Amino acid sequence: MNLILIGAEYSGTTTLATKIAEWGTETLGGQHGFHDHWKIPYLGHSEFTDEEYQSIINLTPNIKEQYQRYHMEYHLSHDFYDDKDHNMVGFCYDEAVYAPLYYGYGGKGEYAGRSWFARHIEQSIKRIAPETVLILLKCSPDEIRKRMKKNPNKYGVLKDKDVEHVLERFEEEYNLALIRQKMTFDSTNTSPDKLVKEFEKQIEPFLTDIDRQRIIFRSLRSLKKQKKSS
Amino acid sequence: MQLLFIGCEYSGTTTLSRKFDEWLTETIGDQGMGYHDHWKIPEISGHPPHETSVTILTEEEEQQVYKASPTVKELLMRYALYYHSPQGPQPIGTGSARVGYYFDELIYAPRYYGYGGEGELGDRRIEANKIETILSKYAPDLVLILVTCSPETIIHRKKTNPHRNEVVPEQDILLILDRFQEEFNNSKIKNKITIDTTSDTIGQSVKKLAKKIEPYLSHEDRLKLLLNQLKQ
Repeated sequence: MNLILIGAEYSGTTTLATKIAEWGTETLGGQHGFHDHWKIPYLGHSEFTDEEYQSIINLTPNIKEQYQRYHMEYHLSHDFYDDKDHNMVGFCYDEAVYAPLYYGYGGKGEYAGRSWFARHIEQSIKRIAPETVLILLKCSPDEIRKRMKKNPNKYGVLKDKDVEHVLERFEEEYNLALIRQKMTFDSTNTSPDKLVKEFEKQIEPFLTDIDRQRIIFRSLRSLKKQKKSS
Repeated sequence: MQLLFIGCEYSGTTTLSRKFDEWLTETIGDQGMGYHDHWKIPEISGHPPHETSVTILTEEEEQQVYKASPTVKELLMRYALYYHSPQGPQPIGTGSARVGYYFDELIYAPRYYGYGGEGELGDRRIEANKIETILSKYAPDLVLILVTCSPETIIHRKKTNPHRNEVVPEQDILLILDRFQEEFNNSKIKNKITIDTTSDTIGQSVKKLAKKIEPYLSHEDRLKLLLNQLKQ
């Protein structure tokens, strides 16, 4: 299963990703996770100190641009896509939306403009993982603001004044995306548990043969267990 | 043509790669390949002769990279390595050259940058193996060129023309020369050439390399070469 889950900060992408990962472990078996490190200063799985995070925030736009460009390309490598599952939260879409707005690079017409770069990445994805599903998680601006105030992220990027704009931009990038398998959810009034149930329904036509094999195998095993115990 | 020049700092990898590019342009009629010669921290960008000026770091930016913690540097350089590795079959006639690349990281990172050692996150031995596997698959014609030089000449060059952001201290020269030779010998890349720049002029080194590279020229390179010779 190859998923890319996108949406404005506080729309609930990380929470939903965690729920989908749990669903994946339960339904398909094995370990499931998401690469959820695309908002500067979160640039990878390495353990950074606060001082290091600050040093990343202080990097100039030019260095940040290179760092993130290399970062994105790294996550397209065979090392990842040779696995049965490769899931990401945000990825090039976070860059397309946030880089020109907050990081000082990647605007239209600039070097490696991030909207253009997202299309370039989608072309690669279509070649190496054509079964990839793009998921947009929406949320109302009021709900985003409520969550922002109630539980602010330590290095949050989204600013109150930009909420509407950022929501629109994610929708715009989602519509522009060259990835054909797409689905949307709305977390405004829906709990994460309900969202994952919706996901389970909507993902069915997009499951790969390997996913289906895994589901059948696990179902047969649990049926055997039930028979034995009865 | 895909080339990878490696060698101890001051052995002449940068000079030879630039001059060889000129030779290629003249002889084969290529436009010049563009060199990824940005693997010694803090010089992490720059692609002559087709420079993209916006990606060149200012001195202030170089300082930021230099002063970044080993964890931040490790991740940046790991991402950079894969960004510069082919992710699929290369279109026919693709020319590219890298100088240093994962060999620089394998040798310099654990010793001078504080990361990439055995068993550490981003262990450069493991990353080098992965990259060689990618290269064997997608750039099987790549030619690995080890540029060697005597320690005395390295010291002489160091003194007469020191680099702005020097990596190798004088006391390590012998060790680093040995390490490059060792990694060159261990490399799984099939096409290998050694060029010693100790007593040759740059022109002589280019001539030697041009001769040695002949067996590794691709079908497209030979066609271009013949066509170019007919024109003259």
